[in-house]
Amino acid sequence: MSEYILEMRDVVFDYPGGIRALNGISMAIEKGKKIAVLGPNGSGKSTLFLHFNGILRPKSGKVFYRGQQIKYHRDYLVNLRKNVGIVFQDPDIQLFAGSVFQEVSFGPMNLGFSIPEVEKRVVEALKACGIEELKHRPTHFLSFGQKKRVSIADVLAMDPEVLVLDEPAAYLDPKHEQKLVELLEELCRKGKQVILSTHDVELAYAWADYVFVLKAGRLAAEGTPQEVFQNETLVKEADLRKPQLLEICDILKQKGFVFNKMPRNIPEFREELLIYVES
Amino acid sequence: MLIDNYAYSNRLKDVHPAEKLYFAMTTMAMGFIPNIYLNMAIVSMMGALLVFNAKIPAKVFLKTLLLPLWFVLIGILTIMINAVPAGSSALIKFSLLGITLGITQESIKASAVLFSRSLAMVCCLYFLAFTTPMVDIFIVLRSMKVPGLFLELMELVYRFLFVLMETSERIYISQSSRLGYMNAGTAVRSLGRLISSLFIKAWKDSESLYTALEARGYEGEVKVLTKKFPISIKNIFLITSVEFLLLVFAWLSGGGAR
Ligand SMILES: Nc1ncnc2c1ncn2[C@@H]1O[C@H](COP(=O)(O)OP(=O)(O)O)[C@@H](O)[C@H]1O
Ligand SMILES: [Mg+2]
Repeated sequence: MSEYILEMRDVVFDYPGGIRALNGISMAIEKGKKIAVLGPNGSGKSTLFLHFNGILRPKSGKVFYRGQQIKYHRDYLVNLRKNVGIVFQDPDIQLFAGSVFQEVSFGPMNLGFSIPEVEKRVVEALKACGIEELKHRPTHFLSFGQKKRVSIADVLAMDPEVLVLDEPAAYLDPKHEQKLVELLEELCRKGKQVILSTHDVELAYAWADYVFVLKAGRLAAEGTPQEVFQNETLVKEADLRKPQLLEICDILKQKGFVFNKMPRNIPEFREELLIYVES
Repeated sequence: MLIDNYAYSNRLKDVHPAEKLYFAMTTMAMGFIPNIYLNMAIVSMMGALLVFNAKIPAKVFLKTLLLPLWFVLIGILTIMINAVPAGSSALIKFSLLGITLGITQESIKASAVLFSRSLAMVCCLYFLAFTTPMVDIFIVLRSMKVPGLFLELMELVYRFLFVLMETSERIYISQSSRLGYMNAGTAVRSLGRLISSLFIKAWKDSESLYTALEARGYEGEVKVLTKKFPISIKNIFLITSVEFLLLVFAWLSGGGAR
C-alpha cells in the first residue's frame, strides 16, 4: 500500500456570507508523487490549499497529514506549517519585507533557529532558486519573475517536507515558466513533495504524476494525466481541454503510429518518433 | 521614487547606516548656527560628497535640489517684504492698499540666513536619502530601541507604498484608456472610483498578507534577519573631525549675517 502524505475526507468549507467554496472534497495525496490540482478560476484551488496547513478549518470533514488528523491548536499548527509550506499566487502580497534577505529570513526566524543557521538557510534557499545575486536588493525593484522566485525561496528556507504552490506559472512568460518547471523538477529530485495548482492543461500534462481536477468546489476527476486527459467524456465534463501533444499523438495513432510509451513532452515525443522511424 | 533607486545603488550604500545617520544629523545640527558661510560650506560639502563619493550624477542632484527651492523662495519672499513704518530707512519702499511695504537691510539678512539654512538642511537630508536605503534606516532605528510595533508598521507602510502605487498606476492607465479622464466631470468620477477601489484593494491585500504571514509561522511579531554592516572607526573619527572643522569655520567666519 502506498503512503499518503495529505488526505481530505468530505471537506466542506464556506466563506463568510455563505459562499460554499469546497463542497465535499475527498482526496489522498500519495507520497513522492508530483501533484497538480487543475481547475478553472473560482473552482476552489486556493481554498483547498489553505486547508493543507491549517490556515482554514473545514466546516465539516477531516484533513490528515501523514495519516494523523490535523489539530487546530498552536503547537500542532506551528509544526504543520513548518512541514507544509505554501507559495502564494501573488508575490506582491506574500513579500512584505524591504529587502530580499530580510524577506527570506522571516520563516526560519519564526522557527527559532540561531542567527548563523538562519543565514545559512537563506543563502541555500536563494541558491536553490538561482537568485543569490538578489540577496540585498529591495523587494520592490524586482521583476515579476524574480519576485516569484523570492516567494519560493521564502518557503524553501523553512525546509518544508511539502511544498504547495498556488498557480506558480500564472503571468510568467514562457522562459520563466520553463525555468520554474526546471526548479520544481530539481526540488522533486531532492525529495520534496511538490503540489501545485494550475489551469494550464499543458503544464499539468507535461509535469504531473497525478492530477486532481476541481470543478465548482467538487472533485471532478483524478488520475494520472494520461488517464484523465484520454477520457473524452471526463475532459468535457470537467471543462478541460485536451493537451495539444496528446491530441497530436491521437491523430498519429489513428494513422497507425505505435507508441511504446505515451510521450509527455516534446523531447519524449521526439524519441518516440525516432524509434518509430528506425524500426 | 528616483531617490530611492539611488539609495540602493550608490557607492556609499555599504557604509554603516548609523555612520551616515550620525553624519547627516550632526551636520544638520551645525546648520542651526546662524552663519551664511557655514551653511554654504555645508551645501557644497554635501553636494561634493554626493557627486564624487556616492557617484550620484550632478545633474540628478541639482534637479532634486530645485524641487524644494521654489518652496523656499516663496517662504523667503514673505520674510523679505514687510510692512514698514512710514519714515523708516527701507531700501525699497512701495505702497499697496494704503500700507507701506518695503525691504530693509535687516529683512534681507534674515531671509538670507533662512535661505542658506534651508538649503543646508535639505542637502543634509538629501545626503541621507540618496545614500541610505529605508531598510537600512530601519535597522538603525531598531538598534536605537524604537518600539517594535512602530517600526513594523513603518516597514510595512514602506513596502506596500510601492504595491499601492503600482496598483493605482494600473487603475489610472486602464481608466484613461477608456477615456475616464476626458473632461473634468469624468475625471472627478474616475478619481473617486480609483480611490475607492484602491481602498478596497488595500483592505483585501491586508487580509491576504496576514494569511501569507501566518502560513510562515507569524505569531504577532515580525522577526527578520538584517544585513550586517562593518562599523568603521575611521569613518566615525573622520565625521567627528569634519564636524569639528565646521564648528571652527563657523567661529572664524563669525556669524556672516551680523
Ligand atoms: N476571501 C473570500 N471571501 C469570500 N469568498 C471567497 C474568498 N476567497 C474565495 N472566495 C470564493 O470561493 C470560491 C473559490 O475560490 P478560490 O479558492 O480562490 O478558487 P481558485 O483558487 O480555484 O480560483 C470562489 O467562488 C470565490 O469567489
Ligand atoms: Mg486561486
